[in-house]
Amino acid sequence: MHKPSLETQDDSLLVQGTLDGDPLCFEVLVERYQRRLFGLVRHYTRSAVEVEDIVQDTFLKAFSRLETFQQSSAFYTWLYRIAVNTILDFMKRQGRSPIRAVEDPEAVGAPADETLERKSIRPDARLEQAEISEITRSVMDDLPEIFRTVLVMRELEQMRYQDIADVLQVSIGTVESRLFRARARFKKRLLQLHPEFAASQSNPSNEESTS
Amino acid sequence: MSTTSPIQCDVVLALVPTFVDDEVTESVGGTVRRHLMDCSACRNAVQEEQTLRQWFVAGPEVDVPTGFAAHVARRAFAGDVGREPVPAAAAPAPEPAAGRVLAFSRALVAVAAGGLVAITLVLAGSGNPEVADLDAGKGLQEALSELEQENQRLEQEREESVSLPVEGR
Repeated sequence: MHKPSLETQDDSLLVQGTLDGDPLCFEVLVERYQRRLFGLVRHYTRSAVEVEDIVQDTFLKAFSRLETFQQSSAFYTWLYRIAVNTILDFMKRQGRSPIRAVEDPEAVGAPADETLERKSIRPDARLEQAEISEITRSVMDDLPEIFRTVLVMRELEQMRYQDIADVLQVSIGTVESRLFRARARFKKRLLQLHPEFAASQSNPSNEESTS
Repeated sequence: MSTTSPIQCDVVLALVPTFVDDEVTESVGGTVRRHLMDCSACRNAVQEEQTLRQWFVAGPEVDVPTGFAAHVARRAFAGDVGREPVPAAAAPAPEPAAGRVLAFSRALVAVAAGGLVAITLVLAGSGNPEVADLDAGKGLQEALSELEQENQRLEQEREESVSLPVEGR
């Protein structure tokens, strides 16, 4: 089959074509999702070469395991899961941000410093988007991977809770819980690294909030 | 505090993150919105949550190299199953104690070997007999001559013993 006609085919047909030995089918699959995977992986490394390596590795792993893909689930969700695992393997090998188990009380506990919790922190209006992005990345580099991954998916990739749950193979409740803790950890770390952006939150209706 | 909304502040506050993420149902969202109209504390909480979201700005995009898909497909069909990228700037792992002992032993052996070579070279140039001085042929000739003399002596004794009369026959 010619490439232009393949480009309109469903993922499932392209997967079957690949399994039947047609390289063009796999090439079209790679073309379809390469941009999104490059977009995902760039949140984890500043090196364009490493981004390319990780994405390539993801597609090669997907190809080698294609027979195990269950057509009942979305191909992209399955591919995304392989990408996340490949990223985490990469980070682990690099000795960066070791993955912590969710049971880790230090990792999942609420921020101990309530003063920090009450503080508001907002980007300075004079900051360029690129500067904010750099600050955000430096804070996220310090987060346990379990929190960083869920923040990347939700805040940077704008994924729905259900899609995150499918990729991570957890419940929506777990996604909500991890997001809540991840944001708390992010805010705490942001305040520690950049206290200059903190502003004491005036909370005049604190008494009102208890109804 | 909200006085008219049927929903309590603690319930709304618990819903704030999912509400801001637009992950609540229409009916729950409507109830929260009505509560927020009357409750400044919960409105502050929503505003705070939205402020935090302003920090999440993605970095610059990474361009996909031209021909990337074709390249990956070729490698995949050539049997490449993927590998972990080699760490580019990973610091070398500190050597364990056993490793340090092994490295020290190797260094010691290397130094000893070097010393032996040096001693050999010094001795070679310190007046030892030269090859020309070691005339192995001279000693051999002397030995052969002595052996020949001994053979002749024995032969002579044998002849003398044959010619002697047997006593007492």
